[in-house]
Amino acid sequence: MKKYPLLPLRYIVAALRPDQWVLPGALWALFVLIVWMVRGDPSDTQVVTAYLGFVLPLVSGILAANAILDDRALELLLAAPRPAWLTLTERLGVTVVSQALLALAYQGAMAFLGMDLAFLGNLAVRQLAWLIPTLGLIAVATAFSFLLAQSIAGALLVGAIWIVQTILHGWFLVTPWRRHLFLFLGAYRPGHPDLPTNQALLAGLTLALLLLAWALFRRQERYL
Amino acid sequence: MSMLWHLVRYEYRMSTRRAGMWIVFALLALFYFASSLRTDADPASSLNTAEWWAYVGQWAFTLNLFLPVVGGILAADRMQRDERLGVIELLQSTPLDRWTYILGKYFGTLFSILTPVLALVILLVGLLVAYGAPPALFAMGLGAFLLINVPAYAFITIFSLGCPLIMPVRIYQVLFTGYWFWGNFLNPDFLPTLAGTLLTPCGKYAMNAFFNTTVGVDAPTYTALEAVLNLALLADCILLAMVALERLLARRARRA
Repeated sequence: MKKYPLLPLRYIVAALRPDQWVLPGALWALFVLIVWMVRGDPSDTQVVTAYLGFVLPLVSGILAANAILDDRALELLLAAPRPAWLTLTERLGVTVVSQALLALAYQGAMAFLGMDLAFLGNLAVRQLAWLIPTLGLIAVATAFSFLLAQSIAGALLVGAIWIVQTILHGWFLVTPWRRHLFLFLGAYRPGHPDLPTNQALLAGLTLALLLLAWALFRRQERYL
Repeated sequence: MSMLWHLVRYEYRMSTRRAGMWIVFALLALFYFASSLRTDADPASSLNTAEWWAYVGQWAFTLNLFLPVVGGILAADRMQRDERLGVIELLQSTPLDRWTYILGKYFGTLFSILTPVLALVILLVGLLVAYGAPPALFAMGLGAFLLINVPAYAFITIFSLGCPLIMPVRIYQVLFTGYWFWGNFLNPDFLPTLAGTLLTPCGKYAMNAFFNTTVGVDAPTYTALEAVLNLALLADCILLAMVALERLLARRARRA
């Protein structure tokens, strides 16, 4: 099997635009501050859930939509003899890893502030509450951006899905088939009996969308 | 004036040619129709005029729940792309003054993102009339569109044009999506928010005051004066944002 050189980590970090760190970091700090101010209030667990379950996936989806097609050196990137899956992995991987670090740091901050996160489940289950919607929105953003060859298309669909599911969460929770398509079930109803099925289904859809994105990205002339 | 008109028309045609806009609006339209359209057997003639008026007002507000997010994200790159593609220098070398440029971009973008919304309103009203609603519902629907939907889009368009000039587009996309929920629909008991203040652009003031309807059990009620104040305040914000945008472009032109 042909081996492809991986980009050095220092290159990946150096090539990142500041906004990929500034906004996620600022939102992280904002929500830590808000939790610090409201801890002890009845709404403190809701604020904790808001960042992990809602804000993190939204930021991830929008960043993923702009991760590849908005690259100013896109032609150079596509001219390099590197397979599509490797480029996708590197670019989306940066988003996933950075958001994962923020999610773990947030949980650490909550522990430092004395907030008990057991209501979201044990340590492993708690990670699924943010990881499933995050990966789902990343997959939607990437696939749709490639489908229409415009990063704004992916951002549009991520924003639309996020706002619809956030505002109409009650409508999604009512019937089983809608619950299974609800990205934020892990945040709204941790411990719900339908949660494993919901997360398995969403994981499958995420994988299918990522495969679609890979198939579309292989036709690189569409993006030049 | 003819330059402004040509700019509006060109911007409108550029904006409406984007397939992503129509696809996402169509998906949301399907969602709206599947989840809330009245198709029951109750005869539409059982509602009187006042009830139909309240119904279209409520529907117009419902359209403002999600569609402005799509509109705001769509509008976010319309001015920023001129700088990114280097077109702004070309435009500055023409006899196009800044205000004509800003107004042309603004109205062209605004009309383009209002087009699918208006199409949705007409489609909805047409279906209701087909089910027996009075034809006057078209006029009511247009009234609801003008009083509830247009102010919201007019508000978000100017900020979607100007803010991406001072921050990356994707940062604005995230902040705007979060703002629409935080500034319009978040419970003030949960976090401090602009929701429920006169700076709320989602149309709940106009819906309650002019269409005599609310959404939700304990929703507050508003007077006609409060609704007018709300619209006036939004108009003031739009004008201020335009002036700020003009000053920003003037400063960048001096530095170029």
